[in-house]
Amino acid sequence: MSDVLYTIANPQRFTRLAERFLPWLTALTILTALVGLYGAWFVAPPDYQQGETIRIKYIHVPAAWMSMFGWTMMSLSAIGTLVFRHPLADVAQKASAPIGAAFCIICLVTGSFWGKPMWGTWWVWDARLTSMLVLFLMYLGVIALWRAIEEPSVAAKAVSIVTLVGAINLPIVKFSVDWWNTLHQPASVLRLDGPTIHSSMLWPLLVMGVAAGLLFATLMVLRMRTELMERRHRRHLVIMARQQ
Amino acid sequence: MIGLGPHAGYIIASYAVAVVVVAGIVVQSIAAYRAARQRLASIPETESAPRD
Repeated sequence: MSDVLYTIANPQRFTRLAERFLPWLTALTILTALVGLYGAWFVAPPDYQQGETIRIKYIHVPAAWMSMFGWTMMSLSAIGTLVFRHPLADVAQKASAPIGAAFCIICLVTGSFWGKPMWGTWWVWDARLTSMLVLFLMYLGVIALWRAIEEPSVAAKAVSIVTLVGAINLPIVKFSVDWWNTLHQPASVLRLDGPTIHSSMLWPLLVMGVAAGLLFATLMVLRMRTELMERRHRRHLVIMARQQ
Repeated sequence: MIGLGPHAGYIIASYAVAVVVVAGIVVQSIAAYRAARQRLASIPETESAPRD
């Protein structure tokens, strides 16, 4: 595993690999999303209590998973930046933040659209919803920090520290429904004793989760490639300025 | 899927929001990539050559 990480550590090598794999990743994302949406809309039955409103869960739950996955990726990248000084770690960190924020806002808004007919309210300040809102605000915070500090290496260190401190929110989001008495229902898929939902609903949800993961990966590779090009351009401007 | 029931508006709005947000981040990512590629293309070949 470490060999693979060091093989793609070279930004030029990463760019070449990204060029080769991006079309395949894109195609796989679209294909998986189509299968997942077909399952969610045409195969999965309505819930005996929630009725057709259960269809919202097929985008809400994968979006929640990706919101947390995004910050997990950023935390691992932060360790890569601060401890291992991996040349692509801060690039990956910068690329992940907007994608994680996008999934987070999808999770929050679709949760509200589900909450209104099911709970009778758009929003409650319970532990799960509040910790997810905090996660979204943290995403906005690191995006702002990246923009506020001009020098990428300085920004990377500041963002890494904030990211690792913010990682404490991840177990709070995940276990808030177990630790506190919340309106939000407990986990029904990622549980130690296995999923509690019927297989006809589970497989479309899992396929949608894979599609969301592939979308995250595709966008991340594209944004990392863009960031590497931006940095090469910036290096050129610095060299030009020094020559004048 | 036969009908969306009494809460159809909430279901459709949820999917619409997801589509808009995903489309937004995809379009923004592609636009940023194209802009970066264009800026990099303006650098003379010898200066932008990869350094392995």
